[in-house]
Amino acid sequence: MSLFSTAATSPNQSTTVDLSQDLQVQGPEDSISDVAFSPTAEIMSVASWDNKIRIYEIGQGGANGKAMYEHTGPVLSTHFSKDGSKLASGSADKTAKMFDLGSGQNQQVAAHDMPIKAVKFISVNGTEALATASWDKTLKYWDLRRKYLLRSGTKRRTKSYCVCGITREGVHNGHQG
Amino acid sequence: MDTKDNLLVVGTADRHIAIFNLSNPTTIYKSLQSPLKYQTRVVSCFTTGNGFAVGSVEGRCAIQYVEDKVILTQLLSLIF
Repeated sequence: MSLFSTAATSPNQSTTVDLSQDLQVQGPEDSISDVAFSPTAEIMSVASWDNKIRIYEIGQGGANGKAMYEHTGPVLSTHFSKDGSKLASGSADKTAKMFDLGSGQNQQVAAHDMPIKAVKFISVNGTEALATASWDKTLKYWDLRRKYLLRSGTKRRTKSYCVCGITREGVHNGHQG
Repeated sequence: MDTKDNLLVVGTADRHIAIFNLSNPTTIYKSLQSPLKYQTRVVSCFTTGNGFAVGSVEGRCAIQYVEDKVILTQLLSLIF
């Protein structure tokens, strides 16, 4: 009896999925870099290379545009705060902005020397803060109530690690700004 | 970069990964090299906050635990 006498179960599982139930959203004019969902409501934010952040309300019939604001460079990252009241975005214009979903206003909350690759709301010992990671090789924490820089890492002088993030030397007990 | 509870994970250049404990956010809790061969593209934390997944430009994915016990980390860490 050959080892191969019995037919092996053929891998006939399809690698494609049924897309008929999917809904297309009227999206940006350029590539999407990041999407985030609100933890408290049926709201989605879309960051795009067309410099804009689009905020959609998701319902049964699809997604309806709710708000939009702009950076002066491609937006690379977006994230909702834990209570779902605020939205942050990090951009290649070297700034991070925060959008208040209640008032519909946005303001700049962070700045780096290079594009900001990622933004996340964090909780540091009960205090809400914004963490921003940048191609300037630093990770910065921003106090959102008083709007100042909590901690910053220093730049590494030698090697260029510019491709996908900051260096591991990113954060230490840096200056307070 | 991704975060869950007190865990903050940052994927950086040269396949480095920095792990922060947000109860002491100014020092790197743990620094490690990505288990994957190629450049890190994404890191994503577990909802339990005790580990994370790493994705690379090659299209592979790895599972890493933050757990200090080395043996446990090796047993649970996967690449596929």
